[in-house]
Amino acid sequence: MSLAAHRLGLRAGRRTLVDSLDLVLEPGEVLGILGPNGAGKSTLLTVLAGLALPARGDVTLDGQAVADLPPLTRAQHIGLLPQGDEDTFFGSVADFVALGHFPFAATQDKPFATAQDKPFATAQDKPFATAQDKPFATAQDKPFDTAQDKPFDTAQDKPFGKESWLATSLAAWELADLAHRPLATLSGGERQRARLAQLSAQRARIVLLDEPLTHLDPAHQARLLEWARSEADAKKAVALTLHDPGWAARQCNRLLFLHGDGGWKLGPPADLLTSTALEALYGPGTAALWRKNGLSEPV
Amino acid sequence: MQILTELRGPRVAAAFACGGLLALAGALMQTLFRNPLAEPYLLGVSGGAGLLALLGMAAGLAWPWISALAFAGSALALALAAALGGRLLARDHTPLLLAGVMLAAGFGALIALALSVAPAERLPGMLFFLMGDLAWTDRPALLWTALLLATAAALGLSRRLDVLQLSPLKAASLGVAVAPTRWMLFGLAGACTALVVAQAGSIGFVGLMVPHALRKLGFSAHRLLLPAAALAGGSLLVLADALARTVIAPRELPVGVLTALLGVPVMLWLLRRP
Repeated sequence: MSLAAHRLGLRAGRRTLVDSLDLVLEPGEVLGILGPNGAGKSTLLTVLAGLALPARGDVTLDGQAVADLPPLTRAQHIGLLPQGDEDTFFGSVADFVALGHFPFAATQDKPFATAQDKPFATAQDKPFATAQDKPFATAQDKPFDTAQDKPFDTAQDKPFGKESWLATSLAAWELADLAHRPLATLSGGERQRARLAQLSAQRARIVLLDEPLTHLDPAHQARLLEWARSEADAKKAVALTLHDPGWAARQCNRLLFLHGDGGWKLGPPADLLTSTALEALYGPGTAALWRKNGLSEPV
Repeated sequence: MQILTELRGPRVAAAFACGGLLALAGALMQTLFRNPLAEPYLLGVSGGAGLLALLGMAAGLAWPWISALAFAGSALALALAAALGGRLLARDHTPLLLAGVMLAAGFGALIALALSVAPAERLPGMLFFLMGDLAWTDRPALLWTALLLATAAALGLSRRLDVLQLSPLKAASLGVAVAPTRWMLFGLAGACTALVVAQAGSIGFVGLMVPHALRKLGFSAHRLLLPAAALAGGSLLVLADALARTVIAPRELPVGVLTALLGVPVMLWLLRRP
């Protein structure tokens, strides 16, 4: 039950970004991917998601090549938060988040299903009130737990199944009060939370996040990491790219450093978050630069 | 009574179908290009149709031939746009957009050339065709069949179209086959537009304004937006055509003038809404 990259090679034009990467993304782990700008972090996530082909090697999900999976099947297993969607979306936040349900809705296509017409009917009443109080503790554990046991359970087929998923996803990212607002009127950070809620609604067991901390305030950054860990605790596999070699990176189970010249390093944070390794990653003199500009050294 | 059944009835029916098809095509184009300002003629459909129709008129051909030439011109424009700009449609729609806009500009220049060398007595007919005129439509049944089929086909795609509003990468990650769906949109919108242009010339503004206004009014889910666009576009064109026939009766105005005159104030009012 895992996503595996075998002898993976990534290129940008003639440049080799990643060479011969062997990586198994295990259920229950949060993998942090770090590297300088243009090192191939986003490309790696896209390839892992089966949405682009690597220059060399292959990516398999439980032994099957991800690029060969039928699109909807793949979407039911692998979720991706791409970077900087310029969403030209006219609908409400709730409509936007509900799109995360597409991989399941589409397989039982009923274009005129009425369930969608009033996604808030129940959402409004109870789930929010309680979920709001301890958004991360309860809102998460239960739904994801059950989803794990039988990922394609029948509950979601019923209209109420979907509505409660929608409500849970909205509540988990504190969007309940914004549910009716047009997405376009949200701030950057709120929109990032809406994207994350949309991803939550997808309930994939492989969760790939490209710079999920972008635009989030420090409180929501911490919540994001908390959420990533709770996903992992529910036996999902999470990989995220980030630019914080400090506290954020330390919350990950494993780190992958991409040097951008083909080289890479994989290991626990304690082994990789050293001055030597970070200077090798971001360039010589980086540690001194951090110190000079008042950034506490991450190690 | 005879006037009603043989003249007015078919014309009103044709006007409704043309308006519905244009607004539907506009909605599909806006989703294809993820741009609320996209419209049915964006890819040079009207230019290609206009050029060939004008050449037919200059040669003194009768209407059915001109209609056929207009349809062929639309198809030619779409084929050129697809061939020149369609390669990367799974990722990026910009090349297709640019190819279409360039083609439209090229056809525009050729149309201006054709107008400037055309015999003077044929000019009014040519101008009416370019501005859109329902006096020529002779196939309301065909238009209605197309409207019903196209609306049904578009509704079948509606869930996928909702997802296509997201970035191509995100849409693909949610399981939508982006390139095939976009080509379906392209083909469907192109066919609707080509048919209308072949029957009534380039009636402007309906395809841009109706879907845009509906989105502003809160019709964001495609399963509501698409039928609403067909209804509203049809109604708008029926109204505009009624005015076009009566405002300076017994003479007629080209209906395209009326759609713009009716549409611009409504659109400006909508833009002022918060």
